[in-house]
Amino acid sequence: MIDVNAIGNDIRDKIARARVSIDERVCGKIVYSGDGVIRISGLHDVKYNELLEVHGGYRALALNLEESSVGAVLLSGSEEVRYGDLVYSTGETVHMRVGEALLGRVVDPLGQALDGMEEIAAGETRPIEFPAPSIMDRDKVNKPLQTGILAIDSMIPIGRGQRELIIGDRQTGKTAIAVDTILNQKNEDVICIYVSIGQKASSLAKILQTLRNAGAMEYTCVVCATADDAVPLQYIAPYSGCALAEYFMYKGKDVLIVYDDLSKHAVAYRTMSLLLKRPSGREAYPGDVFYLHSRLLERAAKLSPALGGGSITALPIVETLAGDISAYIPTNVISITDGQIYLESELFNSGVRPAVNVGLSVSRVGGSAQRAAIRQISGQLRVNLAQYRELAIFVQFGSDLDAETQKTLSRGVKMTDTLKQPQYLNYSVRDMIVLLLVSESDLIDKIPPKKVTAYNAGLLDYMRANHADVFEAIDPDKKVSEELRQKILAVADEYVSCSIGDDGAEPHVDLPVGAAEEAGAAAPEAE
Amino acid sequence: MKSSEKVTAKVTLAMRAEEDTLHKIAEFVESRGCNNIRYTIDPAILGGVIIQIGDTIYDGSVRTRLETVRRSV
Repeated sequence: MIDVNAIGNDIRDKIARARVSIDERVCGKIVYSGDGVIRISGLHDVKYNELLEVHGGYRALALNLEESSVGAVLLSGSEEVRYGDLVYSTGETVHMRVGEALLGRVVDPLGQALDGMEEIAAGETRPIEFPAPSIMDRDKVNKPLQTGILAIDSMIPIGRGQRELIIGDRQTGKTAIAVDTILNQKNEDVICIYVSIGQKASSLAKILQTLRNAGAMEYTCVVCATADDAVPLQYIAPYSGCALAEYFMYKGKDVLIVYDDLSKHAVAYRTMSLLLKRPSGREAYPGDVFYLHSRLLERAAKLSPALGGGSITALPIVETLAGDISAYIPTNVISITDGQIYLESELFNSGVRPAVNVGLSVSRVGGSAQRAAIRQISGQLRVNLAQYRELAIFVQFGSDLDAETQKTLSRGVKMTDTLKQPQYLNYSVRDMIVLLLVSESDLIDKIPPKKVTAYNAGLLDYMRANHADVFEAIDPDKKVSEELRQKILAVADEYVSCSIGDDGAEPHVDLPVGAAEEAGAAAPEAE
Repeated sequence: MKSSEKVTAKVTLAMRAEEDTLHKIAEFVESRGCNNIRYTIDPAILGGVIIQIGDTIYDGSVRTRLETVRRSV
């Protein structure tokens, strides 16, 4: 039942409060408007980054303060604003709506709902530009953020509070890694924020569908400024997302924020700067494009226990052209972040997915946050893979190989196969420990070539179904004892031996869909 | 600001005002350091007065108040 009287009283109350005294406002006049940029004469006391109100209720952002005029970019209404319109200063900077209500929602960079669901109740707001935590406010990164991707969690571990760049050409699976990581945070008590900057609305719709289907939207908020949104909105999108992340971080929560992607963000900023007639530098980017990203990524942090111990883990994405990581924006962001995951289209096309180039990818701080068991086992992995790659290059020239070399090569291939992982299939830490143990043991030589992926999937199912006790005995935070190692290998051996009986091909345990496809795809080549 | 400089206040009214009101406006404007007043009549503001001195606007128009009420309800 709607209480009409209550609504009436409410309105009367609001009108009474709205009757303010004569307000004193500073105003200016638009003397130029074009391409979403306006020039204003007057507005003598406006501050940098101040939010302006244009006649008609439109918003603008003051960015150039000059002697006789103010340059600003319009956040809305670039078509409606006219010469001579009055512009008022507001004394505020841009604020983003924050709060638990935003989880599960798709919002624009000002916190307005875009998903057609009910209005988001007006609650707390935070300034989108906020100083990063100081040195004393920070703590060491000491807790892992599991991506569920074996290649990353074993060799390029990410810790909570770290900034790890995902870099690669278009169509190499950059977003897939980020989305997989979000999906893997289910039941991990990590809040995820996906910031889409200048992306196609169609690809964003696909990602949303994936997140919804997997039930990941419960702990995720999507902040988006798609390619057709006003350039200034694309520019503020990552800062808005970060403001929301900070809200949760200062409440002691762990937050994962994905910026997809920062190259588009830099392009948006370049557009604005050129239209504002700021001097341009290398690749026509303005002089402060480094600061643009450094001040954003500095806000990712692990807070000290005194401040609640929350964290923001940032996964910025940067797109390269033809694998050129020495271009301007990639080098900038590489130097800001604590490591990068480098994806290669060559690897991607040859079927190594995720297409992580292990040699060029690093994680500068995540190692200390890695789970003890994984650290113990994966230590040798990187070295082995490097040896294999070195050998593989030489072998391209030679033909006669001794048995030892052949063994190293075949193991290398199988190790690479172990690291292959279909999208949306996340491994738990225990899964990873089992797979890594098997890949480093002599057992791997028994598995027929090109069948490793199918065997791995089958082995994990077999182990969960028939030897749950061994599986449960694995403690990710302790080193794997020799006894446990033997037990795990015994189970694996049991599985491999009885599966090989079936004409050495199909493992007889039902496979998950992704793995079955892999097996199917590999079969014709094997013939 | 030099004292000899002429500072004009732009005063917008909805209709011709009484002598008493104009006197009050002049007083207000002088207290803000103005020595010249230009009056305009704009029925679109519905009522009240808007005074502009340099970049600063003192908006006491009925139109703006209605707008504020509309936005807050």
